[in-house]
Amino acid sequence: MGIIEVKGLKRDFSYYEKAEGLSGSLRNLVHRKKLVREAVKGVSFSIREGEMVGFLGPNGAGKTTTLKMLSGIMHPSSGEALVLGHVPWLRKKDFRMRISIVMGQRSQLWPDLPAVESFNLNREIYEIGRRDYERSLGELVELFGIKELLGVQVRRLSLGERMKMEITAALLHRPAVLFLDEPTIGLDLLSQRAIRELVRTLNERHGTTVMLTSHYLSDIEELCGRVVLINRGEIVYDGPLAGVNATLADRKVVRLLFSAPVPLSELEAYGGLRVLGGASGGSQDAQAAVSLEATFDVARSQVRDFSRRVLGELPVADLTIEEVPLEEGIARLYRGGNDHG
Amino acid sequence: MAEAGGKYLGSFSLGLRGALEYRANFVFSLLGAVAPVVIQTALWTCLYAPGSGAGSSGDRLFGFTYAQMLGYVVVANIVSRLVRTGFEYDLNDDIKSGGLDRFLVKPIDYFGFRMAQFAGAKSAETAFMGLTLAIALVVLSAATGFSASHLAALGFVAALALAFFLNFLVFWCVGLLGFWLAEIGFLFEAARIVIITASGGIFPLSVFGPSVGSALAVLPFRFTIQFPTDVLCGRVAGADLAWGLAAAAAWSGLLLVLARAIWAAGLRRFVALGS
Repeated sequence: MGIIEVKGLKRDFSYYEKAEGLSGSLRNLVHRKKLVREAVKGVSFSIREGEMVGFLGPNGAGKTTTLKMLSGIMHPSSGEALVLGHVPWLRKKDFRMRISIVMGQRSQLWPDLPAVESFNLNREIYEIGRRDYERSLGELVELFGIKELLGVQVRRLSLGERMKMEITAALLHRPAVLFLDEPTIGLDLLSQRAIRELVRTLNERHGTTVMLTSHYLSDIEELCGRVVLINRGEIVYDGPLAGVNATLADRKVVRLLFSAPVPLSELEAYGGLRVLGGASGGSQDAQAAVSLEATFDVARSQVRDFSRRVLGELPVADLTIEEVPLEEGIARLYRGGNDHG
Repeated sequence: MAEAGGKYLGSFSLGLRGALEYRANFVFSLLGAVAPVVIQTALWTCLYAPGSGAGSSGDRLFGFTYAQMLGYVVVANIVSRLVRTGFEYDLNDDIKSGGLDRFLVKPIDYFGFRMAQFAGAKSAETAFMGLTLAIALVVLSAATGFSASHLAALGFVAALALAFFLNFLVFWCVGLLGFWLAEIGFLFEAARIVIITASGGIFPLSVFGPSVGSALAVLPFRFTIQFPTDVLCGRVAGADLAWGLAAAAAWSGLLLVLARAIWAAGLRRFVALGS
């Protein structure tokens, strides 16, 4: 039995359609056409204690809706879920004492006051003993390097600093389950890395179970051994991160830089041309086009022969051979197809 | 483990520190309380002036002598300032923008939090207004012979505490309409003007005549401004005072039940619809 158990969780939203313009607004006053959108269509999964799971999906896929249901903020339309043995949306005190959610685009801190004031209030809210609080805060302050910022009004902090404070506030009571919804959104690379390192350290030290949604694949790649991909409210993949590209494992990407422009027609003759110096391979003036770089999609077994051929026949200045990017595997799973593009 | 009640004390403290964070705003809001008193004093001075139709300054208007009316205006303005809310905008914003989420996931009661935070935010102003009231009473005493007994002062403190709670509940219920109405900023201002008027915050309720006065008497609003003012001015005492305090407490209990019911229904809708 996992620490998070989800079975057939479904969530519909109703909304109204409104015609354009003033007449549409007037008609809307009298009659509204009600529409229903299925945001989450019966998802099921299980997460073990101490696991860090990446929850990935394009905008509107149902990630945040699922996290909101699992943290008790929203009722499902149907289905079941147990988090730490509790039905989340009943919001029992024991449940709320042991979970935390950080939403990257929504602040939990009081903007007019220094973050330490919000931390103190959280100490009271979560009934944390003074010694535990100081130990917990000390650890987080050290990991994030935010000692000098504790007394600064939250509204005067940078986005990255604020997010560090948000996460600190969410972790003071040492939650057993942590939901992170886009915690690194809009942050610079250094802040992103600091947050990732902190989450990893806490998971290692305290066994915190983490469910993380992010648009940044590097968050997921660095933290999560397992990913759940959701698209249009349905889970399209649940398994190890390495498995995302399993169906593309027989492909390699070969990137070439040329010392002199090469005609497109010549490049196309090799087959598998993907990208051409920023332009696609199928433009209308293809015959006249030349390029200083090109990327080819090559079968793994053909890479050696292909490389030998292009090195011999084209003015190659640089050649790199790479795995198919994770994004492509994910995009392909979102499409649900078996194509290689 | 920390005391469970400490979270509300912490909320109170947060409110107080939040109010003190913006010192200029705090000072200006206090200065803003003076203007209505000056305007109304000028108005009533004109109305009571000989030749204005109201007779000499010894005559009564709406059952008040000039001195009594000045006492009422000063005390009622300070009371209306003391019980004045403002949290309803935060409440509405939490509902509308989904800020309520952060409270739903925490082991804290939202009503208790807002109440404690508001009381904290109000406490600095209350201390200052209390001092202002004391000075105003000394000036009134010298200028018009106004006097308040110790018993009246004690009764006033009790009536004011109930008025504060009652007014909080009234605006809490209005604010909760945000669960159903998308835009209610206009409603707050309309409600505030109507409620202050119906509470006797602008004029004594007797100004509206016996029929409107008796209609307003059966509503809870007069317990938020007129009743505490009348207690301090000595117009309500003895059994009337006890009866009034009991009625204010009963109204508070009733509104608390109503507020809880509206909250439960609103929250069901909020959690069902999502934010």
